[in-house]
Amino acid sequence: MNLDELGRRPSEYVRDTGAPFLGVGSFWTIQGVLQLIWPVIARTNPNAALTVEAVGVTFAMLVVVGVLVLQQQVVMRRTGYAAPRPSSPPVKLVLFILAGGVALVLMLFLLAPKSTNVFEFAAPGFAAFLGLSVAILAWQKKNRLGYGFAAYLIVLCAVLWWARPGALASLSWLEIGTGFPVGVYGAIRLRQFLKANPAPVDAE
Amino acid sequence: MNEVDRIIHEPARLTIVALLSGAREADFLFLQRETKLTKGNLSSHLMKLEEAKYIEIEKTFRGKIPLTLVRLTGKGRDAFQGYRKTMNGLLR
Repeated sequence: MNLDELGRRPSEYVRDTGAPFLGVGSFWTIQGVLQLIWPVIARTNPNAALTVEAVGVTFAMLVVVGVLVLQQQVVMRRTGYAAPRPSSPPVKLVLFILAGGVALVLMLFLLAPKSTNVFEFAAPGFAAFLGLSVAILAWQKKNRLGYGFAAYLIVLCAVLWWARPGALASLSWLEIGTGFPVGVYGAIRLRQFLKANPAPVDAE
Repeated sequence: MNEVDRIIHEPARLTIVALLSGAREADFLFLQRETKLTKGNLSSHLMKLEEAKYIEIEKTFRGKIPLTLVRLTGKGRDAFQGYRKTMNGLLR
């Protein structure tokens, strides 16, 4: 009997349902799309743009709440409810990721051509930072999917670096590019989980 | 030699306590699914753990469905950590 493994089961169980990925992924995708639309509307009607932004943020929050309700009412009613204890990540790992991230962002800012707006390089820098963090976590957990996602983020960093669609648009595409695959992955996992665990006749 | 905590030492109860050590709270259904115990068996182990004040049980409702929430108490957490220390010491 591995006691550490048993202690990790509640958080693994919640991840297995796919709902957290679906919630986070949907939120960032909606936010990214909003930030792409918002400046276009603002050019002609700033007030309408503010309304769109406010409605969009509310919608994104509602989607997250909806996923949580789905998790409570559909998933956990079938297979049980567990609220994992928040675990503190290893300090050394967090410091390493932060130092690496800061160094990478600084390097990208320094490498950026002097004539351009340096904030255009914030999104590729952040993508590289995310890619590095995911790669380290994947290496720690020996997770092949994690390696794949880290590689995808590095490719996303390169695309954002070369395409340079503008500072805000670049961040929007980063949010969509990161949130969408995470959301789709969550939806697939949730569907598989619900298929594998049909609704019980009696809940307890 | 340190005494082994007999309440936690029983494999089913050790599994329950280890599972609860990673959760703020969990319900009966989750514990049953993870431990693969029968309802009666799980209930009796939970009762023993509650009598020892290692866990607290809250009976409530989710809509019209009864919901039994289980939490590890501070005493239970200390007992679990103590048990692990004792076992590690014995096995070394």
